[in-house]
Amino acid sequence: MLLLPHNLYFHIPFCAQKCNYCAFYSHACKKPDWDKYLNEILGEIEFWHKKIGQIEIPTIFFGGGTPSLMPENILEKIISAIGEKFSITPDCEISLESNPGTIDENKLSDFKSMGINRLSVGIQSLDDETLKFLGRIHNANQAIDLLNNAKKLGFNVSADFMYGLPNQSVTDVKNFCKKINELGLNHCSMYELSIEPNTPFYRMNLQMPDNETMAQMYESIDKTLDLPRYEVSNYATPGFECKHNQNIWDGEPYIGFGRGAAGRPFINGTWYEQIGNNEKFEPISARERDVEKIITGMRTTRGVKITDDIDKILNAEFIKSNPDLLVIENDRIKTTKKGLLILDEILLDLIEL
Amino acid sequence: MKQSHIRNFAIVAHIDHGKSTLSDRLIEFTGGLESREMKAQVLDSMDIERERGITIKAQTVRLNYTAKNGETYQLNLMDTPGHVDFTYEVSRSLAACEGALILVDATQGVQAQTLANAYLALDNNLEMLPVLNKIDLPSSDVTAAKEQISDVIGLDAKDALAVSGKTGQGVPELLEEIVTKLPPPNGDANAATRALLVDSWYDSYLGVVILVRVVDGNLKRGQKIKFVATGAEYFVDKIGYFTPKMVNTDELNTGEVGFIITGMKTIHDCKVGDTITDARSTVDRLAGFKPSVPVVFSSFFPVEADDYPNLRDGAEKLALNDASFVFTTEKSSALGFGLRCGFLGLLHMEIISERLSREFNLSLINTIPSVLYKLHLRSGEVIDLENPADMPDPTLISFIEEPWVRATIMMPDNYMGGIMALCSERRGIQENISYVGNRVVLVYQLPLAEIVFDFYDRVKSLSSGYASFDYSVFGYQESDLVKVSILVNEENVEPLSFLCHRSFSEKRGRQIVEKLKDLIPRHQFKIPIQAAIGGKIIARETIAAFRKDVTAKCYGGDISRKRKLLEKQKEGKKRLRTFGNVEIPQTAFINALKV
Ligand SMILES: Nc1nc2c(ncn2[C@@H]2O[C@H](COP(=O)(O)OP(=O)(O)O)[C@@H](O)[C@H]2O)c(=O)[nH]1
Ligand code: SF4
Ligand SMILES: [Mg+2]
Repeated sequence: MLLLPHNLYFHIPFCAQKCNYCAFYSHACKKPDWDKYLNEILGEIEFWHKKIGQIEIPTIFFGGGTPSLMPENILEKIISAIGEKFSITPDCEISLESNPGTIDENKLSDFKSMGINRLSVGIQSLDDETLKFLGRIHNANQAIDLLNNAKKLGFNVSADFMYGLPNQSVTDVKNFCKKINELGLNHCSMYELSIEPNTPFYRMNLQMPDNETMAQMYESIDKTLDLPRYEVSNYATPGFECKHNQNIWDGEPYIGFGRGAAGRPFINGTWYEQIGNNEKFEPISARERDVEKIITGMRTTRGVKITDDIDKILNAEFIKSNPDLLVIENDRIKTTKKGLLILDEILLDLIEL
Repeated sequence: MKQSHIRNFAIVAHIDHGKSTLSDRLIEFTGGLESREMKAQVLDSMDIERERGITIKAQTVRLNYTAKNGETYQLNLMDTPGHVDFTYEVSRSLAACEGALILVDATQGVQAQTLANAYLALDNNLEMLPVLNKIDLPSSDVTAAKEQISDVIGLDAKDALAVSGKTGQGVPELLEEIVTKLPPPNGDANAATRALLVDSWYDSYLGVVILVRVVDGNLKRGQKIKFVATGAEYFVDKIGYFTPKMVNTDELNTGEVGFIITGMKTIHDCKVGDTITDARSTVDRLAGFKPSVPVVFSSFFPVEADDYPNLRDGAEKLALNDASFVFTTEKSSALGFGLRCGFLGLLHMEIISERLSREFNLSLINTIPSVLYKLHLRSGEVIDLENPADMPDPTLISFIEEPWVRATIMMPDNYMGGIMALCSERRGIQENISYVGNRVVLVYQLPLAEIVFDFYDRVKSLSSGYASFDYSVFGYQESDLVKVSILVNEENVEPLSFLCHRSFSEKRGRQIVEKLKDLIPRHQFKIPIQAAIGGKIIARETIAAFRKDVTAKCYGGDISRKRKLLEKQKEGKKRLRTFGNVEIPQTAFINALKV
């Protein structure tokens, strides 16, 4: 039996409060039932251990929701269960998403000692008014404190920011980037605000920047940030990319734990579409999986390796006739800077179904 | 049956005045169908007829009625279509009758189609029996409706019967009047056979079914007959009538209405209006009636080129039962193979288009409907032009003529101003105006091209649905017409081009261009949309480019959704046609017209 390494994703569906733009699967919850949550997760770990065996784990990601709300003992039990049932590689990247105002220095250092080595901090904005508008529970200083603490404790630190807000200008975004540069980060994510159904923003009829402005903002981020882009919304000093996400974008296998968490296990030569807590487990064809690899891989600046199978579903004609959008280098296909902006449209022509 | 005991009649009415419902009651009262066989509106047999609540094909039914005098009569009821587009089919049915019930909804009064159909009945020398319907409704006003019938139609309505098709009230009295007041046929039973070919349709089991009205002599099973106009000879394999079930008999006698089946394979072998006689006889042709002429034309192209054979196949199947739907193959440089189709009107076009999409699972691009123009060339030649794509170089044209109609519009007088403004906006010329109580009858001459688009819809909305409308083409008149082309990203999109009067060209061009701006999705580049006459641009809009569409986030959980979305979008993309590198969705072709 062929056992490929699998990356693990754990979803923590609790938040202190729902932000105004957020459509992620998470509940605002004063006192989450952590024991129940732990039991479910332990059950899933046991399940996958039986199903797939003592696989190697190159990365683990605790995402949410707000994983930093997790009590120390809960996280500890989860990590030790992973260690028992699977084999965590020595250089395993273990990331955890955190929100300012939900974690103090003590907890941070406990998490560090449990093996968390990468901390992603949800900051979104460096302006207190904007943070309030977004429905965040913290101010800018609290966010910067958390960043500094995490750095001091030796975490590999990343921060999430948001741009393209109502009434924001391209100049505002440039200034925002300059401020981010001052934070001395090795990794950050810059997300364009999108208005999702079933969120308070959706009902507010906000005056969003138009498509051209959004494009200019996006381009100005690439020019202004010190960190180079390596994925549509992610920027890092080379070597500091998020390994977990990079693996998933490259099409490596992964398993999702917790309600709503998606996975793509690869068992006995078959790919599966999986959703945590036994919600879904269905085979998908190798071709479908290759389509997914192209969809995610083309979002990264290193692009997709053109294997024989991938080659079969690429539209060679379209690649050839659009050198301003697509390039092939060292057997990899990737977008140009211009192409990346309109990737969704490109994919429609690039992939032959 | 003795001719004196036969009554051939039709019910004519404005749409929704209750023709189908009353027909059902007549069938029920005379025992044509067991009550368990009665379903609402027996005669509207096509799904689409039931759905839209309109009768498209004329149907016929024989009723046996025992009158108060103890005698049994044969009543042949011809159902007639109830929409302006199908006036032609109404006159066909009327040609087989001696009498007509002019049915008026007593809550509505006389409407434009009541009037138009009453005139048709008059033209056919029919005895007319006014009948007021829906008297079960509290809002019915029998007295007012009677006055309108005498004022507007000029029929004496003092003794008009009042009925309810719904409850059956008054129906026995109506049957009695049909016998006593409508005349019997008066053919010559001893003369050589002459029968009028009223209609024909294709039945997948029986082949072509021919509806006939025997005028002189008789038709028998096994008889060798001749179609006078075509000269074709056939044997009568089956002969009979409808109750509305098909009933076989041995013969149809003088004055009777029924069907014959002859082994004919397609309806195109028989001409509606032709005279049928015995193969050995030589007879004068019956007056018959003019063949139907298509007045509205449009091309249908399959969105997926591979679908052309299916389109053709579908159109052939529909044409089997619809002699008024005509088409020829068309090849367009932009859209590939398609069909150039002719229709009786816009509704007819919509019905055919809808049936092709629905019954044959086709996705179609319809070009802008056009009417038939007469082009007088400088060379002296006169050519018919029904496809703007075929417009010759304007320098070769001496002048152009377009078809005009006479339109009758009736409405409560408070809506008159809006309707008159609409008519003059559409180049209408007022011919007559008369009042009936607080209602107005307007008669206008209008260019057909101005009413085929959205005229009826506008009339309805300007009058909150109270105005009614009817028209008929009366001739051609010279007109200052220009061809307006639509350019998308500098490329001419021929299916969107149209002819129109010069004074409207700019407005129409602007409307279509504005509409397209919303119908064509953004592309990676700016898209100019222009309306042009020859080389002159008369309207212009620009669709801004989109520069960014990439979704901000795509993590583990979003991947299936993205893949499935992509599959769906790719499927949708197949349904787009490209002009000047711009993908134009199918809906744009249809909705661009709805200005
Ligand atoms: N109340 C009432 N409704 C009627 C009567 N006759 C017809 N209707 C209704 O009027 C509508 C149109 O009737 P229909 O027979 O389809 O009219 P057609 O378009 O002339 O064939 C239907 O909803 C019928 O149910 C009637 O005598 N009384
Ligand atoms: S903290 Fe994050 S997951 Fe929770 S509501 Fe806000 S944005 Fe959503
Ligand atoms: Mg009807």
